[in-house]
Amino acid sequence: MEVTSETVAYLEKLAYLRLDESQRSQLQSDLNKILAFAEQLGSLSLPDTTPMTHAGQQVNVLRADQVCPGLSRPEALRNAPASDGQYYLVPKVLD
Amino acid sequence: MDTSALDIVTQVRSGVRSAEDVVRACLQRIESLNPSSNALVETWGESALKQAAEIDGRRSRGESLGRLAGVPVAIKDNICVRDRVCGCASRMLQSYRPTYQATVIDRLLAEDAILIGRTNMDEFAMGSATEYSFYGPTKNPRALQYSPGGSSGGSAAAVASGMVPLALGSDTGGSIRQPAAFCGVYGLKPSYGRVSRFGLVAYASSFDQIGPFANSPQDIGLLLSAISGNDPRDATSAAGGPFEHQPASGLLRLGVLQTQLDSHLDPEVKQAVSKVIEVLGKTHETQTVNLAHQEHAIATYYVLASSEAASNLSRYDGMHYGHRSTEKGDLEEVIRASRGEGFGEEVKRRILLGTFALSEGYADQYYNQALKVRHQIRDSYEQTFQDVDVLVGPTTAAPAFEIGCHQADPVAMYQSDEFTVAANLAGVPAMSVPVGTNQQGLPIGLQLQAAVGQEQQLLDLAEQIHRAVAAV
Repeated sequence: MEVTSETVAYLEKLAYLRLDESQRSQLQSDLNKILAFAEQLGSLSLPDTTPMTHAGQQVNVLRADQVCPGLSRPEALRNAPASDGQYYLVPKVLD
Repeated sequence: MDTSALDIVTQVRSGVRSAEDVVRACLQRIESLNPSSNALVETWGESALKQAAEIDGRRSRGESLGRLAGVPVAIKDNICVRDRVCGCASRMLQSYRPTYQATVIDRLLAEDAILIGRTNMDEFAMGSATEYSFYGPTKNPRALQYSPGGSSGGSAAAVASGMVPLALGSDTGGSIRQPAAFCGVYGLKPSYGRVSRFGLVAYASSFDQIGPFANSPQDIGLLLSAISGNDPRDATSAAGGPFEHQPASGLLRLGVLQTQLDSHLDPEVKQAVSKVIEVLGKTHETQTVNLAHQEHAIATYYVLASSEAASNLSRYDGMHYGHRSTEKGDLEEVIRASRGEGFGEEVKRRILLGTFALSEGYADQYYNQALKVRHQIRDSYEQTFQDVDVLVGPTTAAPAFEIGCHQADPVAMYQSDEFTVAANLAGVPAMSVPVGTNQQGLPIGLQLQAAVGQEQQLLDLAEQIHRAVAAV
């Protein structure tokens, strides 16, 4: 698998990142090295193995549906880069 | 500064020494040593002294004190303490102050531990050298041109230099054990789910565990008993109460990981680890064991952990909290700019790798295949633990490397976790135990691994190694 500059641009878009030109070419080369290393996993034939998504033993952990204290509005907005005290302020979404 | 937490607790409870005196000595040591090693990125002197005065007051009134009474504990910068900056050593979170706090912090405070400050780390816990930090690298207190390991390098260095008797770190692929080995201290990654992850900033949620650093196995047990136990706020937390250490000296069946010892090991590491195994063989049964697919553990881990990271870190949008770019533009442009400015190089590398491994057309080949190999690795552990109690091998193939030496080659950096990642893939507890130094004085670590829930056996064996190493 060869990661091309187009692939890096596509991943950058998918991951909501912004890279400069030198980062793009560096990351392209790094990804190629890492994926060449990860190719080894393809050599294993494991048709009957189920994927293991978690190390925990728990299944369907439930709790009682009780009302608990939550964050107050000032607390929720405290770390906001911009707010009007009522809502988060964000750049324009719709024209 | 006394480096034994147990001694401090005894002294503070009996009134031989005040908690205030302990904290002052600790702060003094941090002031003199931290400028050279950069282990702590912030010290909470004022609140620590206030806490100490409160503890001393309660003692003087004859009230009972917790099991960590007066013990200063340093906290890795990815564990939330209410109203304190939790920066994850990232520009993204440099001014983020959580409105809630981690369960482990609530539990430390309930046991009268003193929160002394936050420790340096690789950004978002991604790294093996504590070099990828917004606060600059941490240096190994044993030899300052060397790395303390990572990602919990600040916690390891703070304990190794005697700035604090205890510290908390987190371990996703070896981030407690590898720095413990490099700095010559004890470090334990508990079984997955043993310690609540509530309030730990998520990197790879199916691997992450908070764990203790200390200068002795008893202190590791003390800190683990304070922070462990089921937590309803973490759905992945295991059932059962806190860990209680009841030392035992029974015969154990030890599995020696011979393929690790026969690999490209540094000769001095091989010698030190083999010598301890020989000593342990006099009192325990030993046999050689091989775990299946160990050679694929690193590739499996980096595909899965990066995939989980890509997903977990998608929450940083610069809108709700965290860094927001001043660049003008629409919502999407500002999110991209904020993430581009807020994340460092290694974090971006892993987000891109994870995004690739999860993307349409490649998910089967990379992510799903790695999940299958993970299953095989865990099965192999379960099978092996039918025949042996504890696995023994080196924590790392070589002692600490020089700062900056892996920067040009990420794969070489990833490979420094080659013996530690499998325990995270399988969810088993594992511990690094210092077993001496090489000729340059750099520490060497031995790794113990046990079945899920068997931390007790790790601590018993670590204690025996502690005595054997001290006797040499």
